[in-house]
Amino acid sequence: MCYGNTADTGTREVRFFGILRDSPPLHFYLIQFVGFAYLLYRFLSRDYTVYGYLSPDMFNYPRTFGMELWPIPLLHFTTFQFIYAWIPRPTVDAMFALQMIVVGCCTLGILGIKPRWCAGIAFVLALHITGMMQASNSEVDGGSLALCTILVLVLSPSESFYRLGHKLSLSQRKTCSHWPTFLLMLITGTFYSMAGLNKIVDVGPHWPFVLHLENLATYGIENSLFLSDRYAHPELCSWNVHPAWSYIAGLVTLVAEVGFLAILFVPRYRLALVISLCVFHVLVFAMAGINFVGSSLILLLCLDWNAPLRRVSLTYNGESARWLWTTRLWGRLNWLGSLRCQTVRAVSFETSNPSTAPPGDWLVLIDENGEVYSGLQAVEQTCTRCPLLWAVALLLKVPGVFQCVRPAFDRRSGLVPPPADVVERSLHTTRREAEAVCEMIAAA
Amino acid sequence: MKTRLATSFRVTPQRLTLLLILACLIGIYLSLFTVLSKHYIFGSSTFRYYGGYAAFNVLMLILLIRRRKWIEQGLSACVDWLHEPTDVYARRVVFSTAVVIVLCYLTRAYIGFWFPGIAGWTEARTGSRMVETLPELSPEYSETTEQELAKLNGTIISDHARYLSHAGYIRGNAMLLHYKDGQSLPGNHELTNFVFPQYVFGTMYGAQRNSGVLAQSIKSTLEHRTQGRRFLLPDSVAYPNHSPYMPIDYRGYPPASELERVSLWQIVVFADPHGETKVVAAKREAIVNVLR
Repeated sequence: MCYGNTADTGTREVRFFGILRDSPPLHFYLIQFVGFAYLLYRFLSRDYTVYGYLSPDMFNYPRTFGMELWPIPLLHFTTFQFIYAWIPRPTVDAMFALQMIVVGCCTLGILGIKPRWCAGIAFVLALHITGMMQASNSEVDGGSLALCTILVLVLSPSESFYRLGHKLSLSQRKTCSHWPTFLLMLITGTFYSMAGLNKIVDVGPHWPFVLHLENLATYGIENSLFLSDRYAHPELCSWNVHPAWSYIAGLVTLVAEVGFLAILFVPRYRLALVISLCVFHVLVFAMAGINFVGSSLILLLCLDWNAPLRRVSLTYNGESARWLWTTRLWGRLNWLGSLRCQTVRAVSFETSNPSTAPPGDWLVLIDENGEVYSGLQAVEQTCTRCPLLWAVALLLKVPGVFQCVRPAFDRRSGLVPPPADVVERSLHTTRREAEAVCEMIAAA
Repeated sequence: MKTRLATSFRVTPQRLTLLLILACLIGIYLSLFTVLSKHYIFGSSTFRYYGGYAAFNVLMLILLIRRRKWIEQGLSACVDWLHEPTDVYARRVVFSTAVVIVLCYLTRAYIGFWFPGIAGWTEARTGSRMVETLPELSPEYSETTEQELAKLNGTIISDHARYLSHAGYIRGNAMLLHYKDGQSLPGNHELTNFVFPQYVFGTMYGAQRNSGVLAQSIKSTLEHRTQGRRFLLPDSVAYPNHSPYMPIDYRGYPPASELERVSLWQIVVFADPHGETKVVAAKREAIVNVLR
């Protein structure tokens, strides 16, 4: 098990997601389901059989933008297009068959039948079909994250998957459920951060101020007159005709893209970053007629879906009737069973030396992954574990809300930060408990 | 033998740094080669594009050389983490992924499922197409009959003119699908299912390079769309193409087997936010026979 820094007083914002931690399997199960379902959705909606109509000389990488640096694009080899030097290109019927195999593999993967094998076959075939698109008319079709999600499934150990005929248990804790999740977040994080970096390299850091979305909005309204033109939502375009909107949208996009890798380090802003880029995809669809909207599903997978299931221990040390009542209320709202509330009397802190006893009332929450929270952060984490209080937890994730609420909370709650040795001792208590749980699971 | 091999391919901070330097050099060479050999017009957007990446790689190269010890220290922590004896497979996968991501970015390599990120661009040069007076038209425009203009009126959405700030003339394009029964109905390049059809057909609305492919792809897609499907899913819930076009409901169209010809047009529309919007001039650019 990997634990956080015990000297931490529970108020820091930078908390690494971790690579080799034990975690509940829910998040990985979601990656399995959404990854297969998204690829299935794409392959049921789009007709790739048209590539069967193209003659071999039409796969000549004409869309050189970006790819022209390489004499022969590497994707010619990585997508196995080179095999057509020896065998004929597939016909329309063969393309349909390939597409149906991907559809079949994704369906089996969703059902949990040989998911890793299915992911492998679906990945190779989908990559190959994507290669045909790239070789004939475009460098991207918005499917990179879908393919990467399937690749993460291919690279994940078999025991990570939910499988038909195997008992589904969300109480397990496995490292092999956690690191593939980290891998997906790393890939998605760099995908968007690179896009942000490209804006700076291509145009400059002043990109938001020379973006001129108002031009695109006017152009989009004119486009929307013609049925033959790329999609544009005229009403939405009409809202964006002011240059100020362009500056704001550009700034939000640049900050969200460049900073998207922060989803691995700053959990507070994870939701804001994900929502910003989902909105960005919708706006790009509506104004520029470029469809990356499906990537929003993968973006949503970058939220910490295991948080409500991770066991936490909340300790309150004071005598205040208000906080005693509140902790009891939280205990009652603990429908998921992941929260353990206790007052100081229930905890065997070895306060042998009264002079080192913590002064004032404090609230400390220890996550089973080793992270320690205190004060308003502890309240926020508690709300994450109580479905009835999820709205509060979400509200505190809105950028600025936590920072605005915190001074008032500190002033009125009567709570002080817990001393470092209390955190240390609390952590040791939880570590023993967590290890006992793991032993129980292993014995089972 | 196996141990010797493992030692010779063992990842070390020094080797990683050298790999990064090599990737930077490849990136610089390819960018400069491309810029110098193809797009040597100084100050052009393409020159700036590749010049920008070459400059970025030069910066990275300087950083890697001047701060080599500092970088090797950072990489050393990563390599130590990689070589820890527990969870070996997980460590290798995560580490390799990170290396591939960095190398792809530095060398601008597209590998099918991964690429160095969406490029950056602005809309500074995007402008309104609208003009206040009827533009000068070539003689071919006069060959279009009133009947054809009436049919082409079906290819515009006059209702959207209310979002325009003022009245004027706009040039655009149109696609008409001609059926055996004499009907001519609007279509668009979404029916071809290509992301950028101009690379397959040479042009979007001009003379088509591969007219056979255009005819076949439109006909096969129409078979689904006339039944209210986008390939295998109902149109209302299906995932749109990467390059979506203005929506057309093909459900009322005759069967795809009845499709006879596809014509491609340049049109001029008079659009008025407070009045009538209509096609005022048109020129047929190409006609593609579907029935063989």
